[in-house]
Amino acid sequence: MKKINFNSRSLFALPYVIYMTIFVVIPLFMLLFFAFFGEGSFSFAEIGAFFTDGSQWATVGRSLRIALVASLWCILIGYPLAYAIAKIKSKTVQYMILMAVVAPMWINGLLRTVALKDFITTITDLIANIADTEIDPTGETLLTLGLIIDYLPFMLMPIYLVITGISKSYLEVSADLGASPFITFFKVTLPLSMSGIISGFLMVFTPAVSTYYMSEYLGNQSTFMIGEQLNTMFTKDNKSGAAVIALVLLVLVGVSVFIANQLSRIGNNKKGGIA
Amino acid sequence: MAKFTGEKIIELKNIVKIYDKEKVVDDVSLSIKKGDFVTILGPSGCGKTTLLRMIAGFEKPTEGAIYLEGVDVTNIPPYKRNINTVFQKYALFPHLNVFDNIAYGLKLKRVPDETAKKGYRLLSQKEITDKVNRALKMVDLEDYGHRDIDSLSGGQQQRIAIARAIVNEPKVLLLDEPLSALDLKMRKEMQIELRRLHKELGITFIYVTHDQEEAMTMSDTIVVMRDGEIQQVGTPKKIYDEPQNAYTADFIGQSNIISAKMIRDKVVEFFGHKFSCLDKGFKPNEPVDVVVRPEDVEINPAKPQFEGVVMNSVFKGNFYDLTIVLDDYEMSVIDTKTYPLGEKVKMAIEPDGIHVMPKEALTNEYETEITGENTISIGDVDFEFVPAKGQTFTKGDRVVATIDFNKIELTDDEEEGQISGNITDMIYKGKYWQVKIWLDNDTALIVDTPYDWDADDRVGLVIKKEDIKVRHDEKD
Repeated sequence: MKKINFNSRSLFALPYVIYMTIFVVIPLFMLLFFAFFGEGSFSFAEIGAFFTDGSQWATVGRSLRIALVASLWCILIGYPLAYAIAKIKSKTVQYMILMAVVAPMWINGLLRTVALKDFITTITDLIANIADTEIDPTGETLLTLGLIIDYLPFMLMPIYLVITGISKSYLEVSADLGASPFITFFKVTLPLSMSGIISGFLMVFTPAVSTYYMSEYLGNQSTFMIGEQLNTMFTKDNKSGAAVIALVLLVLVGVSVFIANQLSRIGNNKKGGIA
Repeated sequence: MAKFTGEKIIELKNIVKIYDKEKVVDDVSLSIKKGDFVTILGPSGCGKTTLLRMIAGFEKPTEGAIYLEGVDVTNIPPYKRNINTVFQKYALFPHLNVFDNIAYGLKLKRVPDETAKKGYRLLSQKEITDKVNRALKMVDLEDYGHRDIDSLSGGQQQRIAIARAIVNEPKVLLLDEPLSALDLKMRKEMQIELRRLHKELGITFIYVTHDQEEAMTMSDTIVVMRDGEIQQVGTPKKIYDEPQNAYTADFIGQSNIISAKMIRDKVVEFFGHKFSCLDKGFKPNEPVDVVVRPEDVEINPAKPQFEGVVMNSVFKGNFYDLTIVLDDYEMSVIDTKTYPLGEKVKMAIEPDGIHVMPKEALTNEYETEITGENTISIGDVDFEFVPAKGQTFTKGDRVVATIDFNKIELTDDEEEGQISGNITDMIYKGKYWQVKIWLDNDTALIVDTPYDWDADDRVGLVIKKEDIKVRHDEKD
């Protein structure tokens, strides 16, 4: 019998290995099992059904599009905000603003989503009353807005951390070599903060693409997303169908992580480029 | 010497820089000749890097003006100055390879072109490639253009940092302790390299360092700085042979600094012997400091002047570093021969081996105010004093307190002192150390102490009340 070496440092990893096995590895195999053995014997029937169903593809495409748009908005809002915070001289003021940005996350996500819907509905009802029509605020715009509000801190934090980590000497060298602050931003700060943008993107895009309650509360029939599809499968007790969708989600996330990593590598070794 | 035209390229006029109420640079005026290799030398915290950063444009002087070729550039941002800097920590861009790091400045450069619409054009890709390759060749890293920054050694990174600066053909190249991160051998090589580059390029170099040997071997002109002020400007030889004060003498090379008395012109007395020297212009019997370089003491000469006992001898490769004791003075002497320890030797110093300097101060003259009945404030702490007969003071009076250097006692236990401070500027004066102590309110006292302290040591100070003499400040 192999003797366990209790001095080994790798032993400290044991709790995590057990955790991973129970909550990640076994469920993964269960997914595969239900996807291929759902009808008692091995078959590609469920997978085939998914891939031949056009509406399923439309759902996947819609999910990707909505998540992508929300992520890009988060970059557009989050980057300048992170940059501005990082450039504030007083660290205390920096932390106070960051706290203000992160504070809403202390409130339950579902609660926030419902509150946002109620808030917007109150406004639209008011307008509807005056204009004497009916307005239903739910839809892609509200859903995207909800995603942006909810996930902005995840975009802000990594970008903020990367920007504050950029040594001041790079900016001084750039100025020394003749670059104005404007050019320095595009030639030094932006490329050096690319890794923050990429990890921020992943932290927003990944949960956004599979969101359920957001699309449930803020969307309508035209924003039916993959997370809702998954829920439908469960309510119909279709384990195999749910497993297939979960697998598709897994692959989508894996692919997006891969692409993002490739992008960040290109970003870091970007060959000069004459401005 | 590099090309010397006598033309001033940089002029600093009464530069003052204050950070958080602290004067880092205090009224510095300096002009630098075109093509010179100028070294600003001083210990850390003397303001030399701040001065360099103001020339580069990263800092604005609180007062004073900076001229580049006669043009006031005080308020011009760094990217509009034709000056480049080599930084202490290289700071090569990690997202660019070697070629693009060097090409960074060239890609932004605007060359005058009358045919172009805006009157200028950017350099062509070919021009950039040629210039970068030439710069790489200059620093002996010809085939390194495609390499990543993190694949280079410290020495190579430093060369790239130099190439990145010189490729822009600046009017002045600033170097902020560029060799301090390298090991000794590499540093020696780079010193020679930098000298060669300076000669080849003919650009004015302003080099900042705390390493006096580096300054001596490389520069045309050395600027010695201390506590934000310039102590002396001169050629390395001049600064070595004729230091302006004990501080400079101590900082540059090994030296014996001895308290002496100037009997009359060309005669100075120390070690109980009257030596002839070349210095004149002092008052008769004026207390002075004398600098004798260890190599200027002759052992067993034809005409002996004084004697001492060999205490220690260390072989240094091509000479012996001897410690010779006379009464209670300890002298450092360099000789090609060694002598048995304990042996009495006769010695002599030629007139040109003696350099006489005025004493910086003879006693502490501390400007302060009366805080109560027979108390004054020193470093924001109340000290009792004994007024001379007939003296009357009232609270708030501006006064000058005189305290002799040897009347202040130092303790290494801060608590035991009436007040505490940090030691700077230690100068060995044969039988005692003269140290400067900065109190916490940024005033300083000079103390003679028999003990060898370390720079930045925190010490307590004890002053007896009868040793504090107070008079009204005449300025009021």
